Amino acid sequence: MPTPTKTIPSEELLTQVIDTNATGITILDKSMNIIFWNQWMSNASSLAKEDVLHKNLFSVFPEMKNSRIEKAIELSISKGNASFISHTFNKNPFPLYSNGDKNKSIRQLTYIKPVNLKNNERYCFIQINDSTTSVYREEQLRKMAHDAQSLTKLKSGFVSSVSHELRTPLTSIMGALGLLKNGTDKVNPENMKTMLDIAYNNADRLLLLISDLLDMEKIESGKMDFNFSTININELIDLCITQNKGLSDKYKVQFNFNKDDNIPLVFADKDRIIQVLNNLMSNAVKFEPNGGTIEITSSHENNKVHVAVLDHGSGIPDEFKDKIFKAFTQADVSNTKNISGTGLGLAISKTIIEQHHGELNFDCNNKRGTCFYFTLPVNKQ
Amino acid sequence: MSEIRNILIIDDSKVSRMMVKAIAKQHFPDAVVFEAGNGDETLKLEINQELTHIICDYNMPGMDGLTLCEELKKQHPSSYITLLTANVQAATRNKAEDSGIHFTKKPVTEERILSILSK
Amino acid sequence: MVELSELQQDMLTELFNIGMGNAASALSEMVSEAILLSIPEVSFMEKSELTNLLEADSGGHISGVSQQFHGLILGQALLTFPTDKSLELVRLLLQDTVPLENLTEFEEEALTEIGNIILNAGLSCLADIFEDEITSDLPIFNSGSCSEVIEHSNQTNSAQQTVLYLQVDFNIEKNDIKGYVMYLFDIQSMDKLATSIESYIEKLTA
Repeated sequence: MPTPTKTIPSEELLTQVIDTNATGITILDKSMNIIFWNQWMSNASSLAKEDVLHKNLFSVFPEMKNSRIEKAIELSISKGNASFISHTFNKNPFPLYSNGDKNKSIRQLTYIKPVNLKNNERYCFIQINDSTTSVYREEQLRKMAHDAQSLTKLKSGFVSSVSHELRTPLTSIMGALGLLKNGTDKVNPENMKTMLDIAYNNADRLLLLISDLLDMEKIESGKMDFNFSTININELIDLCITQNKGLSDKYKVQFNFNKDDNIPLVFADKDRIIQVLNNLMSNAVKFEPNGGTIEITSSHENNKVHVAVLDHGSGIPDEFKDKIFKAFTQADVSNTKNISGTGLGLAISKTIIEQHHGELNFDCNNKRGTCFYFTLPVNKQ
Repeated sequence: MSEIRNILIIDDSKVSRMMVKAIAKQHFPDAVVFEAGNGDETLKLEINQELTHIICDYNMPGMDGLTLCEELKKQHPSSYITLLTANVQAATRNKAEDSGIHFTKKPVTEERILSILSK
Repeated sequence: MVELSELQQDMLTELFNIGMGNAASALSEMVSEAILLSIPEVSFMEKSELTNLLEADSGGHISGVSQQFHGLILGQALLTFPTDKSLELVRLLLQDTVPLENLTEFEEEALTEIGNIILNAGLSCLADIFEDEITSDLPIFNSGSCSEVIEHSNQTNSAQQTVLYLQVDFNIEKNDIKGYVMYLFDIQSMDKLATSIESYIEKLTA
């Protein structure tokens, strides 16, 4: 006959099971002395059983005095109430570390429970679960939710700015056309031309705005296509100076190009770089005082090509410096020449340059004007 | 202890008032006790004597105990005023102590009430 | 059904107000924010009545924390909120505005901890009436329809049960959130409670 299996597990068996358990388990007597300390607790605290057994919990961990855990242990011993302490509100958890590494605190869920034996002896049972991983996962989830929320806010802000920007020129066009339509016979030819000019200029502005908006949309959705080739930046600057001649003549300013004759070639999208140069130059024309000269400089160092556009205007107001590259922000320029912009140019230019692994930024001394500059990496081939 | 004690007890709980009154009468049989269940009732009381002690609950419908005590402090500047409350949050406590109002934790016990009345 | 005299009613309300005051101090310390917990009324009702009342008040879906208790009396303690209110409460306490529609694991744990503090505070008050001990088990989080939550937390399964029911108003940063605290007893425990309340009042009026 086989010997019947023992139905009561031995102390040795129980201790082994509790030691291999993946949670921290400790038991206190009613004077809060530690009478049980499992292997998990030893590993996480770097304190062996012999170091802690028969010692008061709060003499082993004096930093936990007056903590929620102490209160909960008291409540369990004096009143028999069980407590659950989440990691969220627990300012003084057990000083436990993953693999004993002091940089890796364990986030803890703590269960504190009274245990009554038949002879009315009371003990306090403490179980600690490691929630570090789930805390991390949840923090990631919250961060994602938070980012999504910010993006939504940004988008709705963008839509309302866009609507406003589109509406303004359209209102002017409608106004001008309305006058012409209703009163053709009463309007003299001179006024009629003024009306048509208003309508035309605003339609032009609307067109510009829409193409900028499409660019912005492409940039935001990551769909902007680039057509890379090897280019000489000096040639593009010369070309843009020619393209902006009409504008600069009109506003009585000049361009002076300080050319680096040994400029290395860059690998870039020609049309996009022209777009950036035109944006910076037309901005400079807007701010350069009448009769002034805009200084354009090309140079190179450390495998970077450097282009600077310096105007001698009134500079950028301090409160505006942080916002200058954001869409639809333009400083109040009502006292300078009346050149309209879409408020998107710099935002687009910055993104184009960044897509080329370059940098676009500005230096501004309010007394001497503003220098916008960008860099592009030198073509290594 | 033969001094006169004129005590005003304010608490929306009748049981709580009964307990305070019972303790007071047991130790000071000659004490005169006034009672009110809230701020409005208190301010309507006609009290012709100098109050030695005011014991007031914090959490009551209508005016809260602290506001009431500040009001009573003006009317009875020589009274020893105590706010009785289970709500022992630092903010409330500091505010009470700033206005010279004493603070005792609920529940009502003989020891706590005696310590107030012996002041 | 237990009929309470005016004094008995007053006594229970006062006792639980003190308990909730203690719970509020503990919660304020945890979140460094002033919190006021008050109880307008304490009443008794049958379990079936309770389900109807919660359903009418919550619009159906509730979140709750429950704890078994034993000792001289035994039963279940339960704290519930309409689910949207539980989100609001936890986020006020965590000072967080993440726009997730459901309670996350974090928030469930936080709510369980808050419930634990409140339910234990209430149990201490009951123990004071008995001048005896009421021990409690660990808190459990539940959410679902009103009857699901009540049944799930109600493990003694006695057919006829009386509920000691209190509405708790949480006042945090000028926000007012209503929750419900319930203690479900079997008939024997209910009788013991009623006798204890009576003798407590008798001692006082003697």
